[in-house]
Amino acid sequence: MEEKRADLLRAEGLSFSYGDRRVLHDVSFTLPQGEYLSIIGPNGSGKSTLFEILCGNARPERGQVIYKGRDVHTMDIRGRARHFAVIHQNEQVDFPYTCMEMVILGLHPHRARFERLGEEALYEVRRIMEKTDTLAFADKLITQLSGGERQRVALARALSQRPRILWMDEAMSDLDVSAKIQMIELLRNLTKEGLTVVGVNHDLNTAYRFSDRILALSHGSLYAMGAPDEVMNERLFEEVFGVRAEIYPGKGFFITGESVSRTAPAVF
Amino acid sequence: MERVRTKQNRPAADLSIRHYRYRKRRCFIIGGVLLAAIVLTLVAFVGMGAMRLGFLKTWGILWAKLTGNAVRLSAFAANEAAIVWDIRLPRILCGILVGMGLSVAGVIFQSLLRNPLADPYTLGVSTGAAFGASLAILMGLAAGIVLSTTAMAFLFAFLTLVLVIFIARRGGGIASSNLVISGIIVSAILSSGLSFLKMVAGEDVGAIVFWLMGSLSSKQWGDVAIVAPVVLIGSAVAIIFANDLNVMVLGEKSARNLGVNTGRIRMLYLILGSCITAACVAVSGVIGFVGLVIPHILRFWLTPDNRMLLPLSGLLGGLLLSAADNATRLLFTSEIPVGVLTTLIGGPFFIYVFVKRRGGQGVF
Repeated sequence: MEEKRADLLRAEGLSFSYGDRRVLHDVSFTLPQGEYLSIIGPNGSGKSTLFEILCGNARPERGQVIYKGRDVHTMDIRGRARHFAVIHQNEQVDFPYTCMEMVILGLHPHRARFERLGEEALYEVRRIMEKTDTLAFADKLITQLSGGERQRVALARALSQRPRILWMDEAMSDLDVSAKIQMIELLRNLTKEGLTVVGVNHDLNTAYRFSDRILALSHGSLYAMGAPDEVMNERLFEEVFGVRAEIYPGKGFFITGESVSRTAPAVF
Repeated sequence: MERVRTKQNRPAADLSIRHYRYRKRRCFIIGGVLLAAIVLTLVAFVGMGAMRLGFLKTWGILWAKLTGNAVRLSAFAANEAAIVWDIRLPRILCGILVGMGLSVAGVIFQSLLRNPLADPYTLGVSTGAAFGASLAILMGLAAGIVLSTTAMAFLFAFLTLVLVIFIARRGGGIASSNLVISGIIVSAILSSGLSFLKMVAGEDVGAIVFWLMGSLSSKQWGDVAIVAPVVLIGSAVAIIFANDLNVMVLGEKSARNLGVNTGRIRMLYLILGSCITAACVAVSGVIGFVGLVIPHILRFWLTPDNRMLLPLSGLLGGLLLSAADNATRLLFTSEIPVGVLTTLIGGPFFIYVFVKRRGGQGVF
């Protein structure tokens, strides 16, 4: 990470609390274009809150998120949807859309009312479906798919939004190993083309193996941020997750047991 | 971005894209068929009854009236023209419009509440209308205060909606589940209010009960004038914003992330759906199952795309309710309320659809 890439997104002093409970405390960082960033942390560390604030779904109590010089929270919803696409963990839809129709819904922020979909747009959708390996069930109903297949359709829909940043909230937790690796490979290729990916990730091994950088949260504060090898060490496992781990640099790690002393909550 | 279309990737492309187009085109064709069927059955039904008139004769009278051609109209007997234009036509139009309105409102509520089993009455708007109408009937009988049943039904339907939204808001926002719960609460209170009114009415309870059963008999042009603008304009507005409604089906968060101002769209459709329902109930009483079954069947049979589903449901709903109403008018010696018939037919049919459906597959 020697070359300096232009910053696409900047978080400045983000704080948030539910009533008296502080869930996020003064989190700041910058995100260059084309990066794959994973947000990690144990349950209740503020991952989801941070995620929702970053992608514009929730307003921070203090601080701001700047995307290309604009405050994300004052951008209009439709305009933001042309730059950000968000995939949530298993989204439940009981209506019989075909997968292709579902992916076409991703064009919504770019389409005028009553605009007819031209040949070009349909081929573009098809190309995305080919890329995400969803073309095989393009004509099937979304209600008939398995969780993993549905998640790939959600990815295809997000990509058809033509986003600059793709936000993934636990989006790969329903996928089996091979589907997950396939999806990550795809995302890695997309980052080479300039897409920026930010994911909340519970699977620490994949986060370690495939992210450009890791953002570790502990008790609502930024614990560490940097390349996976710098951030994910024995100390982090001990202090943030309360477990002992054996690290095999460049490959991954094993959790070997519970930590003896878990650190006290960070003092606000 | 390369978009090379080589021979190898063409056939597969054509298949999925062709399937997509086919699903669209099928809707247009069926829409055309339904529209034609409505016009034809309208003329046919107007000609049927105690005084039978031929199809061409009926058409001639309607055409002369529509074009205002007095010379051509004078070719027909005055009583025939009066029966066609003043007695049968308004009732049949009411049937079509109410069927249309209930089905469109059904589509709206199902999409809005993300529940394919919701219907126009889920939020209690109909119970409000029933309460208002019963109050008007009772006041007329007991106190001699003449209030328009229709106006009171509409007013109370609207008040119910306002109350439901208010309670949902106080209870944490107008998300689907909050709206449904708040609708259940309000409608439970109103139904016991309704029972109270029935008790107070004593021997005159018959008038209220008959109204509640839902009927289109003796509807006049005044009723058409109430229901037509609300249903037609409401449906048109609903179709204009249907793209946003499509995205709402994905849920609040996903819809926002696709650029839909969910708060505004939700409020718009709540008001549209409720106004349409209120107008229908005010004119015809509570007619069951039309607003549940028709959107449900068309959605699983043809498409969940609201731009198509709204007009198609409207057309099929109009056609079927008017057919059912004319059946009650023509087949039975003493007219049974059409609301009873729709529920009698719609209920078992819906059981069939529901049981066969099994996780989104099956018949519809």
